[in-house]
Amino acid sequence: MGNRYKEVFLTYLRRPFSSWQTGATMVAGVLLIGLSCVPGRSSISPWMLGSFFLVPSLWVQFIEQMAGWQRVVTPNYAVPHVSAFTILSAAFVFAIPLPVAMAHHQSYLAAISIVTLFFGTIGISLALASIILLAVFPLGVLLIFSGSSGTRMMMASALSGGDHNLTWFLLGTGATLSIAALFRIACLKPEGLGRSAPIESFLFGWWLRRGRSKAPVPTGPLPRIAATMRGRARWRRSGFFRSRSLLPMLAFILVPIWLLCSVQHPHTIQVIVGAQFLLPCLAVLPAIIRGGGTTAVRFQMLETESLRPAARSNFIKGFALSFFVATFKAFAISSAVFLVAIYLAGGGLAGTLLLVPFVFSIMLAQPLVFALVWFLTSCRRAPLLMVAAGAPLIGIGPVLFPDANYQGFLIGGVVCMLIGLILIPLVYRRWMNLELG
Amino acid sequence: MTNVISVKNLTKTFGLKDALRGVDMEIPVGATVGLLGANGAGKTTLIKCALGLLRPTSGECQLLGESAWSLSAGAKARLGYVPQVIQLYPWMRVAELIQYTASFYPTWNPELADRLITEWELPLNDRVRTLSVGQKQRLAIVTAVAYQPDLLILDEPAASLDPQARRQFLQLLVELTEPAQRSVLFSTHITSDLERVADYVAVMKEGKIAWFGSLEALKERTHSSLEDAFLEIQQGESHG
Repeated sequence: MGNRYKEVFLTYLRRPFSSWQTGATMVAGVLLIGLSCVPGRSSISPWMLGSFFLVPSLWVQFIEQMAGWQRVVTPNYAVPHVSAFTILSAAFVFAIPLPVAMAHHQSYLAAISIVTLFFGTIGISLALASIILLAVFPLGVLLIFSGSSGTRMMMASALSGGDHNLTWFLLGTGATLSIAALFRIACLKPEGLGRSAPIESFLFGWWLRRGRSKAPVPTGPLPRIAATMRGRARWRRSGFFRSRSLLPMLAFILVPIWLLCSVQHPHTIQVIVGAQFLLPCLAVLPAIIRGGGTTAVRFQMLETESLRPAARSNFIKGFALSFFVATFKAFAISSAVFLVAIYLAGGGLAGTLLLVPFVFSIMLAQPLVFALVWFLTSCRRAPLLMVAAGAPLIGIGPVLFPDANYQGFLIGGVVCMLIGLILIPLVYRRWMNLELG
Repeated sequence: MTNVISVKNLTKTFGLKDALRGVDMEIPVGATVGLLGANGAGKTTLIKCALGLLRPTSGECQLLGESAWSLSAGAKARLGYVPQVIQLYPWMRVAELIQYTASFYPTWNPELADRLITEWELPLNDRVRTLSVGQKQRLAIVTAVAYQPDLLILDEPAASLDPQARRQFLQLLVELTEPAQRSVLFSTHITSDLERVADYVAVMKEGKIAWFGSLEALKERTHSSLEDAFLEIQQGESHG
């Protein structure tokens, strides 16, 4: 019989290396942070990228361990978990910024403030199980890595520590979000965590509740999407688990390619936006979504395990999870091809290759296309529809828009994604009415 | 304390559906109670409310003399639970999970745990995600009984066990219930399991306790097998 604090702490060391996929993701994150220490390197992006690999893993593990029935029935369960998580979080927050501060003579406090903001944003997104925050977060990542002059100036200012107000604002915001997320996860009962998050009751919840009259629906957007399952078999059937093992592997493949391109063609990489936000989106966002979805499902499972119609949950899973998995798999494949092309062909391709941002935009428009098709046809072949809708658009894109401004497409793609996310509940309600009526 | 579980007028509603409708039940110390009921009768909901995993819509629920919604660490240390849907950390190895669970319980009996692991041939170095459903269920049982809890609550514990493992589990249950202070509540569909180990039977029907009493009394009531008695209660009025 060992010490529970030690055993809980060991879980944070064991889990990242419990499979080669997660281990590769961890190693990639550490390598990326180490890359930022390379002398003479002008870009600090690898450091931020590495953070995106490591920080969500920490939150996801904490939430998964705190969101289960074990927490209710096991004695003295919460304190060791909260303690281990807090210590490791502090270590992350203080250790991750150290390489960039030392290698690039940046302000250590400023770097800590940025990491703290990342930490808090990811944590609160998962703690609230809010699809809005989960959608906004990649938007933020997009802006950070967009390479536009405005964001570059802001990042440079933030990291230099010259703007003290900005530094303390980022630090305060990140710390507040982190503590709020920690308290929400640690202090509420499992059933309480299944309720709508406050932000959703004000922003999104009112819109959702309007459609609630006919049939009982679970509360909160993400719980709706991931509502009710009986056992792991459904996760497998949804296709997400089959795909899950592929996503970290793709990140593991992409990172070395990206590193190689970065070393061989540094200016090319600086110009091409897609590579720099592809990797965090690819490797991190699915984990965030999975973590949030798993959390929501577990909370909802405690309350509604045996009482929800099976068909409704299959729709929610098939639609939402297939959307994300299909999007990011296609994202990864196209990005890998793009990066290899860059490496082989060199900087000459930089000015004309708009494929990756265009593909990204099209991928983001998929939920809109899908929601429209689903709404009109009430068809259940979600993954097939998505591929059928997305593939032709990808194929004809470069022909139709060879010289377009990629930033415009990017913004358009993000707008489409947000519209699609708003349409999803509409489609779901219509399906429910058709199914129940 | 005369009752390990005390439920008074317990109601639980999910949306428009009443899962529990005024359930009253008292389980005395040292009793082995089998909870029998059709699918959707409310067995799992009753168990979860009793454990504090679900907050009742109304009514009262006490476990080991404390409110189920706010159990102390001491009460939790005397409580063992095996859920219907086994949820163990898939990335842990069996040995790691045993060690991790043991660290929370001062009364952990390593000899008992080792004996069960050996008898049930659980692979210590394998990760939980690679185990079969039956192996996971056995592992969950080991982690719930190895610290010799005073109250053991099992939600369809033998559902995924093969006949040999089920027999071993029932023998274990008989062994565990020998001390006079140890109580067991388990839900099952398998009436033969109940007949082998249960002192009392609670039959649930449509969110209420349709019958509660000793096993012998239930069989004498219908002068037939437990299965026939259960079917008769399901078809007829509530009694008990």
